[in-house]
Amino acid sequence: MATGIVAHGAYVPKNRLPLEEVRRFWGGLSTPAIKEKAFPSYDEDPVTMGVEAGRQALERSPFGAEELGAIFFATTSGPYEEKPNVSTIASALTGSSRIRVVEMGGSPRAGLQALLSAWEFSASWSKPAMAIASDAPIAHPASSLEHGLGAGAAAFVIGEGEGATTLEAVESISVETFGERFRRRGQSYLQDLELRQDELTGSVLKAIEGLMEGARISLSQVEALVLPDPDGGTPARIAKALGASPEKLLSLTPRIGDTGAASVPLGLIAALEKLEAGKRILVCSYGAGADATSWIMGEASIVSRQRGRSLEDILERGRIRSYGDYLKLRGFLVQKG
Amino acid sequence: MSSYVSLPIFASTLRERYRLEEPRCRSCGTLNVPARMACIECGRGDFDWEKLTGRGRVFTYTVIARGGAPTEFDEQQIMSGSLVVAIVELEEGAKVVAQLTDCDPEEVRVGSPLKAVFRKLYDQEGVVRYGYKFVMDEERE
Repeated sequence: MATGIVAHGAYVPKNRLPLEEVRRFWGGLSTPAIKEKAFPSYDEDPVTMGVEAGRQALERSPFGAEELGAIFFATTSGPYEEKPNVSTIASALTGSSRIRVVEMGGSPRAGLQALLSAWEFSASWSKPAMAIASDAPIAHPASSLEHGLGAGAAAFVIGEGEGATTLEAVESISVETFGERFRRRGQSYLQDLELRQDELTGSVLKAIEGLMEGARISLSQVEALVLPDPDGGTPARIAKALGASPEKLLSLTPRIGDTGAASVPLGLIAALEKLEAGKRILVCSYGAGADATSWIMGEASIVSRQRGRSLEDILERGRIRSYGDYLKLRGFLVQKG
Repeated sequence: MSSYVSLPIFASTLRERYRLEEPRCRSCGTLNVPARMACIECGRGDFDWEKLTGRGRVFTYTVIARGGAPTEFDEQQIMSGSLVVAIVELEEGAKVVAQLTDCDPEEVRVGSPLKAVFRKLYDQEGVVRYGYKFVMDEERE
């Protein structure tokens, strides 16, 4: 039996802000391709969203929470910089303390890295592992970078299982970047100097081309493409450069905003909830370099998606909020000290 | 006024607050919620911990207007206004007191189906306190 994804779960906060509200308030919108974004309520953060996504994945999983050997958690916006956020998640998901917990961050790339690490853990030790990517990236509301930022979480149980969605190939690229999406220690808000270097397109193309060459895959053999999508338009631009059909693209960014480390994993879930068994999914994430991966859709993911609420159902159950509610619930207006 | 719960006391209730596990008496089978040293029914002290489903219904509820809740909920009330607190009758028969979240006070009815979720309760002394709240269970009516 092969090691792969045997169950998946998603969580998207109920609150939705139509980006027209941002345009109306600020007189402009930096991400016109994003229609709405999801945002956490006053009592939600990447920890609570991660727990909910993890619970859905476990409800669908052939392995129980107590069987997990590790949890890999990715976020760029956890409530603690020191004190592992993942330990809270582990305590909420399982009563067992005999578990390895690893937290990853640093860029939106962390989400797919957590999934890869969980796969590598599971393949090395023949034990099930969980990967959770949960994020609510935050920038100052007066900056254009903030317009498209959303929130969400994706979770995967990886293990040896009949019909698992298997990892076929990986290609990784690392580059040094300057002034692009960063947040210094102790700072609350993301910054971007908007130098328009576009390291993203170059890194992603290089990773995908390297992956396809190494694994001898052609684009015609790829059924779904999940690409980094900070603005709702980047995947189409990359697909054009690759020569891929835009119908193959899957991204939730136009509906829930840029969910940071959760964005690409949620795109993968969109593929797992749609494709037939045997189809190839190409998944690539970005953050000062790129990780490109290819997966072969398995029966287990079809079984998984038939239990409980579908991703589409979760996406449809949003509640529209005003820009004023957004500022309040997101905590921008709380007086500190 | 604050209804202060010290961090060590809070930490000792984590399996209840984080995973909704509660003790069932080995002698008489009564589910003790919240956990106690001695069974509320028969007074004995041996329990088996049980993971509850988190499904329940509104037994009764109250709406606390801005400023009416203990001070640790001040920040929440500034952001969200009124908050709804319910006595929830769990599927297993026991009752718990918890906040309802992601819902407007007007949609709550006695008997509304609920589902437990993991949320931030409040932030105090620089420490985030997490625990269960309930949301309307959209999969049941």
